[in-house]
Amino acid sequence: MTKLSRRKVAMHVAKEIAEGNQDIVRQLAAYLIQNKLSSLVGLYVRDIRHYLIDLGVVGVEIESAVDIDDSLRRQIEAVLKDHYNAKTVSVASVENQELLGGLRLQTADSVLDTSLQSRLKKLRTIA
Amino acid sequence: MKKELINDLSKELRQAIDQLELKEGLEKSGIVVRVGDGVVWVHGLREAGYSEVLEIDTENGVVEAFALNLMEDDIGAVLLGSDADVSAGATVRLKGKVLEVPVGPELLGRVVDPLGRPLDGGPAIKAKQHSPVEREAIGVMGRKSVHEPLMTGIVSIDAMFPIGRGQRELIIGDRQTGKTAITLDTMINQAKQKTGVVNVYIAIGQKLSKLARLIDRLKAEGVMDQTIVVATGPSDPASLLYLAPYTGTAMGEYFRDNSQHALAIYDDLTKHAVAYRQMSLLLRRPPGREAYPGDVFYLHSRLLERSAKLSDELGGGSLTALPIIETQAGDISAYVPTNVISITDGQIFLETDLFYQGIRPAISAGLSVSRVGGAAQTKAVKSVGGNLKLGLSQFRELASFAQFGSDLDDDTKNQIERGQRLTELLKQPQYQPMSIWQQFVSIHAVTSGGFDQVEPSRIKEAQAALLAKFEADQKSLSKKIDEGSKPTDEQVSEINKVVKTVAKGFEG
Repeated sequence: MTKLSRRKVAMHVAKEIAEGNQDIVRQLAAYLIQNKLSSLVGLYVRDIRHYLIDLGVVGVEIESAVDIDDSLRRQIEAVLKDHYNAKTVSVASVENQELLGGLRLQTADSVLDTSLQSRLKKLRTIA
Repeated sequence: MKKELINDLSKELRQAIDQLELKEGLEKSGIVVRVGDGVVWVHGLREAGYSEVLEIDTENGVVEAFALNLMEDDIGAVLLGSDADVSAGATVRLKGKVLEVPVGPELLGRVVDPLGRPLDGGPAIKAKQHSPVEREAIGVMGRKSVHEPLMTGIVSIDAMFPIGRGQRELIIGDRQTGKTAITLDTMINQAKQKTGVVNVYIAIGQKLSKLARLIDRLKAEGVMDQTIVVATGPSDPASLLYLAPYTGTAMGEYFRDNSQHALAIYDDLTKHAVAYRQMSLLLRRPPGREAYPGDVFYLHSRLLERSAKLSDELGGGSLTALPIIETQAGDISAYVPTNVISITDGQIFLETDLFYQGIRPAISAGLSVSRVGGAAQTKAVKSVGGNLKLGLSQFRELASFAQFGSDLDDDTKNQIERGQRLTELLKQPQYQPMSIWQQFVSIHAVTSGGFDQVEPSRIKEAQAALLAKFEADQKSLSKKIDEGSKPTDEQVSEINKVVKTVAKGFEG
């Protein structure tokens, strides 16, 4: 069996997920195990998230020093929907006190880092 | 109190999100997949362009890299700093621009690294302008043929292999044959003759002790004020060695584009090719001849093509290049030497044998050539140096015949003796570049037969006496010759008189 490129597999899985085929995730897991590619699962997930953006499905992780409330979450959703021209935006939020303040948004292809931690790091680099 | 603070922060955050300009705030990002040997593999960043700068977040701040391999699934980039802090999983952001360095007169007298950061302990460089490290060479219509001389102050070069402003003249030879010495003398000559040419010395993987000595000498000779040194040592990452010549060229181009003249010395391109080979192999590009990648010719051709004499419409500035190549056992047919020989407008070949015979600079008259410099040679030097190369080559041929027997006719004997005198004359101590009149008078004294009665072993003495006398008695004439035009018959007879007087004191 010829080895499929990661890009092609990710595109196919993203397309299936966007069409609502939840079973594709199990099939992907089986494919990765069978082909001894399970160590690359992180890269496959990132690739799939990339292609999902192209299909109008944006996943975003929000890291913040304090827990964010629903209205703030909705605001972020709206901004991202507008930016990516997306059909749906799914938000996962994580509390990370190391950020000290501000927040950090991460989608598959972009990052918005307004945290105090990153600003302090930048200052350290300049100094 | 704490809750109020959090509420305030939250309010500020909401306002910030409302006014969020995502185009500015949201940066394209990827992650580091693999790192090692100064090379990093990044997943994501599908929009990355070739040679674009990447910023990698580490515990100790941001480390920069530039993208060189753009592939289907990931990109290969070369780190511009240490890879010790970079780890797999680190976030990588696109800076959105190619590598730029500060350029301009603020850099004169400074020693910088290939990113334009000072290495001399001086203040930060506040340049008004920045320029991309990689730039396209100027087109055909923007150029003019090389016609102004760039005097090196070395008699054998200025007389036999003249270099013009905007020319690329390769200096090639084995280790320890005086390659750097020639370029150093050329830099010193620019200051001594007040030519206004800005020197850019680019050290690629040179021993730092050698570099320190060179900088000290430049300072001692008063040349540093019109010199920029781009320095990399053997312990620097290959990426910095790779960038150094492009950075130096960008700095020289500033002067070229502002109607000034600059001289770029690349010391040396062999180490540059080796650094590029290292990077390419680590980036898993297919190796070719001598394990160099396929584009090693393009690596140097695109660099040296940026040296040019600009047209009058573009200000008439120039950037002259003196690349250096180190050969192994005099083999000029190796891969990189042949490449650079074919790119440049001539080469000055230095021979180990000549060097150890005490003929310094150890320039091989047979293998050296300047393809475009003739048009740029000063008329004064041209008028006496025209037959020098031929005469010297004939002498070497006759001298080898003369070894087999001593029964030679008078003409041949004379030719050999004159050749010996010429060889002696062309020996020149380091750090003592000569002006046009000094070169003219010295060569004329030998080629006109004025020194025919002087023993070859005393030629240097006679030359020194002649120059001293000329300087003392003929100031106005020496100034006139320095202007470069061919001396008139009256001026030549005046010179002959001085030569005759001096020669009498050295007749054997």
